[in-house]
Amino acid sequence: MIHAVTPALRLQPTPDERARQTFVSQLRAHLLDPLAATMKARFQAEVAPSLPAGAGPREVHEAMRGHPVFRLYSAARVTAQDMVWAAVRPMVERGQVELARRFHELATRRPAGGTLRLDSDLRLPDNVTAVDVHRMPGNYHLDRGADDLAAGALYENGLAVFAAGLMGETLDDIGRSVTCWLKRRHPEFAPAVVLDLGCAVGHQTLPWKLAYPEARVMGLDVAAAGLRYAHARAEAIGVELHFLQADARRVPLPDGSVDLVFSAMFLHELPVADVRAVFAEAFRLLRPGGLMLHYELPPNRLLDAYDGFYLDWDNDYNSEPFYRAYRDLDPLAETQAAGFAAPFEASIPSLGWHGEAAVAEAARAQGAEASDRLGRLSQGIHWYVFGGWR
Amino acid sequence: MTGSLPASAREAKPTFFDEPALDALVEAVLALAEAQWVVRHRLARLEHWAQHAVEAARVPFDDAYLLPAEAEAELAAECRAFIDRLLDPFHRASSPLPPPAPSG
Repeated sequence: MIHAVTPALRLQPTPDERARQTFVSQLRAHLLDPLAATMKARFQAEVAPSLPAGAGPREVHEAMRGHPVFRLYSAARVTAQDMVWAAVRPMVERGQVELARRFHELATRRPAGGTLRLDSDLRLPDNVTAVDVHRMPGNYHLDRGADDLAAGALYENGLAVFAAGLMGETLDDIGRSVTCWLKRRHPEFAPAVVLDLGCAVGHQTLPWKLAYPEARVMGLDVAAAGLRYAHARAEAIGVELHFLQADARRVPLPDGSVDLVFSAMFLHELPVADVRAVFAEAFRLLRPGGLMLHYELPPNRLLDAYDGFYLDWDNDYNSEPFYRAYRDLDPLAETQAAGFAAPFEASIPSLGWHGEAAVAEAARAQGAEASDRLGRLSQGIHWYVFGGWR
Repeated sequence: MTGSLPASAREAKPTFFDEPALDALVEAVLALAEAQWVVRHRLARLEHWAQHAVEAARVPFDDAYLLPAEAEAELAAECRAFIDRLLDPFHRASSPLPPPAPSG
């Protein structure tokens, strides 16, 4: 049964829809763990011996294309992806009026004191409008005006099915793990202003306010319906967050006004030129001594050729057209080139899977651990972060 | 806010087999398995309701009848086992024959 959706915004599935969602979630869990493990074992036994030395993820992909387990895994995974959205869409369609009512009530009352600032004149970037990322019908930017929360609801409910329990009970394991790690790694760092770029419905924004209660925490995204949902979600949970509709390349905030610029699973949605523009904008926004910190997919350097191929699957088959080019970058070099000092990277054990002691131990370690659990959504995942200081 | 949402992604669904019918077949098998699971879950609800009906002579029943959490957890484990069986052939799919060794 799916529990992860924010209680105050939870929509009521019919019992049959609930069963359908459970099935799809468990199907994905099987694909991502046991079948993925079988595929890797079969690669090592049957394909790797004939690969030339020095073969990279692209060569592995070419070699695996004809393998029956790869074909079955891929056909099933694409189908499961479409089933995720199909399993929640009827419930979201039915619940639109109720969601609008709850949003209106929460946005009027603002029990947590947060804000929502939308910009109806914002021109959405082409990389957002051109693709239904993750094959989500209508994409994340779908907005039908006024009180429309449907894209946000489709995203949160879909993610709850998609994650199959691997992203924490409230889908915010990334944010909770990263904040836990940062507080132990840099106990002296106490940001007064935090900005989360590409925040979607605010899953990973909210943990920053929990970690640093005195901070003003802001979430930025281009998608209005997602931001309405994020605002309603934060207010319903009772956490003061401030959401802003804007382009991360041109943030309407003054120079040197932010202490921490963060993002989670955002950069790989951008063309490389935009990644660099976002870094430049982060540099402008940060005060001296401020921190830029991103949770992202790990670079090829930290993965063997097979694991790189496995992560890049989304680029070819899951409407993630910037994934591979992003992963080909060296995040440390990019961070340094943008002017940041002391670039760093780290692998952070999932707080939900491994517990606080493991995160604390990781905070004492140097560098990122190279392993097949790094950045790969499966049991026991480690999250990859990198950043630099202004 | 009312109205239907888009039902599918704009991008064409990727295919993986030389024979496109096999991609369609995987999709059909998984759709059938999903439907089978929904029916299985519905049957479990009916059985549970029927047991109560016998015990209490008269209990309300409608399409929204829910199972207690313990029964849901047992069914979730059953769902995992069902998917294990369903996808077992995927794990065992045999590899293509290696190309013949060059003859001397």
